[in-house]
Amino acid sequence: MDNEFVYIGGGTTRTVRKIKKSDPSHITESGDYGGSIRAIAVDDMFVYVGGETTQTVRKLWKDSLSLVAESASYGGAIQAIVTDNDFVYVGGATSLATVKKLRKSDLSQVAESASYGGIIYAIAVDNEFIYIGGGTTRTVRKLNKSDLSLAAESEGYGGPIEAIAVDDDFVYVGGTIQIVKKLRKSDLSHITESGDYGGSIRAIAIDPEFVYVGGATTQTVKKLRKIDLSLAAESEGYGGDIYAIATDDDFIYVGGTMTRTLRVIENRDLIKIIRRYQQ
Amino acid sequence: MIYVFEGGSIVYDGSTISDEQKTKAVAVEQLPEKPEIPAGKEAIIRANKAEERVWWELVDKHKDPEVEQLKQVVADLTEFVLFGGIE
Repeated sequence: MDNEFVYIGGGTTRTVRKIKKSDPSHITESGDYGGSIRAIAVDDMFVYVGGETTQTVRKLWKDSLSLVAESASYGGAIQAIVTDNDFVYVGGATSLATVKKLRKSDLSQVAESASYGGIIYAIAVDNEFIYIGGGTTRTVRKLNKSDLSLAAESEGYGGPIEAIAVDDDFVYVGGTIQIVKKLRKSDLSHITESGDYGGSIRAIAIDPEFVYVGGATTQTVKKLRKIDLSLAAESEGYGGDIYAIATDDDFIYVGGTMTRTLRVIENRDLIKIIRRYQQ
Repeated sequence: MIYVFEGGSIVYDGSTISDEQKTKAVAVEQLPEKPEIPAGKEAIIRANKAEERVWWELVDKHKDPEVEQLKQVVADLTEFVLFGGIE
């Protein structure tokens, strides 16, 4: 997402769609990725997309969504992509379960982490580190961005990790045990945790004060206070499992299965649904 | 031109990379036609800068480690149900 547009992708359609926030009829669509899209990241000029079957990172022009470059095969389904100024970090389901660091300009590989030990479902990034989580190992690992070496590792989350978000001081982790855990960023020690979401947590987004959580079974967005992860508000049901949440100053943007709509909700109380973009 | 790097990345829009980067890639008008892909295989692009050559190579398809683990669990459970546990 950027100031003007939301970029969405998923299964079945297998394209990236760019929707103007102020005018949902204004839609641009990329070519077929060739498999279900599982991860999208954007920077000032480009969109980076990855997923199943094709298993490469594709770099698209933001304005037209036309293809600019394509990485070598990741070696398995791509589940997570994040970017910083010069690089793209990719994780997913290779047999070695590594993070690959690609140069943004030509998507060539410049570094690879040690094996995580299970499918990497989530990556978050800050200035110095990336934070990864996933299946089997079920810990959060903090890796140095420069060479992807291990800097710290959390205790086990208790189940596969499916979502990670970071702010200046903390890491917020969600997954199949249905709670959000808040960890101290420096050493990944446990600070506090939320109540039960009611289903696997598949998506976490944050703003300066709150954490927004979505996932399976409950299918609502829960708004938690960052300080203690207590419940502040809850949206109505999305109508399917939630797989993606993004935020800006005023709204949260929610996507998932079944309804396959991009829903825009006022973030203040999670009650007022502004738009439902049928896709 | 399309620029194919030895690591397997492909740049379709040459305006997005530097001239120096271009010298490290094999430049082609178009990618070679993908071969027919047999079951269990996938085609990956290869480039050799010294020979200025680009080709597709068929490799074994990646197996998802967790799916493979699950297959093994199902096989073990099936064996247990059909033949009982080890005495």
